[in-house]
Amino acid sequence: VDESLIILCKRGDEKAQRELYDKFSGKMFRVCYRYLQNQMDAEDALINGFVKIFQGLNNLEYRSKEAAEGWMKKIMVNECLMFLRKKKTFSGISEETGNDMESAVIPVDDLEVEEIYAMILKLPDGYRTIFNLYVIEGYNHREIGAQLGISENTSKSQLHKARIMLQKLLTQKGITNEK
Amino acid sequence: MKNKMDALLREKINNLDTVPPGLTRDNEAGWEKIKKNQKAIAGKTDFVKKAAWGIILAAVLTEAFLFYGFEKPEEVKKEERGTYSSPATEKTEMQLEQTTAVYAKPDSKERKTTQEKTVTPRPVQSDTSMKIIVPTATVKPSADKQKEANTIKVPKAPARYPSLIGNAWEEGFRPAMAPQGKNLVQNGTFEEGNVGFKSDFRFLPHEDFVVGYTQIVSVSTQINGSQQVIAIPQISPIIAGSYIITDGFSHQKNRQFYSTTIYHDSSGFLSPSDSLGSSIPIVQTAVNPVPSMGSFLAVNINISGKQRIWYNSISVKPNTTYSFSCILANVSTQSSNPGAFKLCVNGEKVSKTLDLPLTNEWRSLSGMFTSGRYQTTIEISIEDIQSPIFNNLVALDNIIFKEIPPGEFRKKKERFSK
Repeated sequence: VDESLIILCKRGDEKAQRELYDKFSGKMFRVCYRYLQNQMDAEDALINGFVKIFQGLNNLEYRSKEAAEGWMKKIMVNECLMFLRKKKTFSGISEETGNDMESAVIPVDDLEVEEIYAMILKLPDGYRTIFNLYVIEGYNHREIGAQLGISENTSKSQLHKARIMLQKLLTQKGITNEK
Repeated sequence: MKNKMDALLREKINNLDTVPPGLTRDNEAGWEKIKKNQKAIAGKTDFVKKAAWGIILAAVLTEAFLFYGFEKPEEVKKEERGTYSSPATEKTEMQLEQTTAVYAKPDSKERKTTQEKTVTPRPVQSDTSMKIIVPTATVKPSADKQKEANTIKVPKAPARYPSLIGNAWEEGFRPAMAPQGKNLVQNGTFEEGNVGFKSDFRFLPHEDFVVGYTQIVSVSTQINGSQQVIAIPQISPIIAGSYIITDGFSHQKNRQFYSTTIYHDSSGFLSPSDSLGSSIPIVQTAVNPVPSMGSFLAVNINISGKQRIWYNSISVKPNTTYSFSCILANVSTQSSNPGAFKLCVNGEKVSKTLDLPLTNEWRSLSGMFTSGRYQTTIEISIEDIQSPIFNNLVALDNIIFKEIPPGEFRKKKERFSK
């Protein structure tokens, strides 16, 4: 995101806002869809997220393109988490101990990105959310626990289960992580 | 290994910037929804802002009405002003404070004989209460009715009480209508004597009150060798720089003095053979203030250079508004300038300046004071502003300092500008 575009958006320039939307709507929709696995929900989250982006731009201190994009993505992720909280996705997750974290390495090199993306979508809501937050967004378990209202150990065990499930999916596709 | 794979996966996934395969989305419709949501939020924000401003405006208007709603009318007829009597004021104050200390001022004769204070409730007369008619906002009255409505109506005081005209009117605050707070001044009417206050002036005990003494002003040698000594009394019955608490300058206490010519022989010294020359009566030097209010403080500020006639420490509540008032009168018969006075709190002037006229009627002086956030003790004082060269003999009475409940006072701030 160019700083000039951000400045124009801050001034309320509609053309600039539209340009920002056109430029990032696809990417942000991907983010939302990865969490919500439902096009309508993802579309709603995207719209709400952009409204919040335009509202919050005045508080954004532009440092770099990456930082600005990361800020927008964070807003989208939060919108998605709000959707999931409303669906009480995380209330059913029982307290678990998070051990045996050495298993389930996903052989990314052997897969097309779209294949990985599609496999992530096949994960149940809880697994998928934690997998997205930990692996794709890069949060740690403490942050995830705080975001979702679950313990760190629960987050770890959910991630572990998500990885095992992904391995199973890969096995079904005939892909193993032997190397 | 796992971390490496995760990082690679993160990079790949985050680089996806198109809609997933198999899905189509209407970008334009999404944009329209965003604009619609933005407008709805802006409308809500605008409504909230307007509502907030409306609440603020309503609060300000309410406060303004409470503050200014009973403001003094621009036109107050002289005869109506004349009906504003000090006894009514005093009575109102005392009436309000019956639960604390209400007693009639003892007659001076009773006091002299018994030295005791008879506590007798003063009869309450309902017709002395004051009434304000405030015009309503919805009905526009005729010009006459408007004028009438804008006029403060004060019932006539009993005939035995002469009128009191105070500059409190000019200040927009009327002590007679002061809200019902307890007078925080102890002995503000001086009925208890010289207690409950301090003064920069010297107290002359009542019984030792020096009513006058002769002062030799000239000595001249006569043709026959004798000397003429002209002696006149002190002009004031109270020594300059002193004060007394009295219930009036009675004839005995303020006897007429005489200019006396004494002839004595050429020895230059007074001797039994000296003869008394003619005596010329000197006019009475002090008169009682009107109306009679019982005991009062009388001070001779004559070239004293002192400032605080009366002062005392008062405990106050923080962030609270108080009214402060007293009455003053010139009691000198020879003064050409009785002086100017002010009310002060912690040395700061809180009233207008009262220039006492030559008449002997009581004049009221009032002001207001709002305590600070952490203020609990203050010093209130009644001070002389300009000490005239001589003959400044002034009476002081009815000192009142009381709390005004919030919203009850109706004084315009600008009227307190010093």
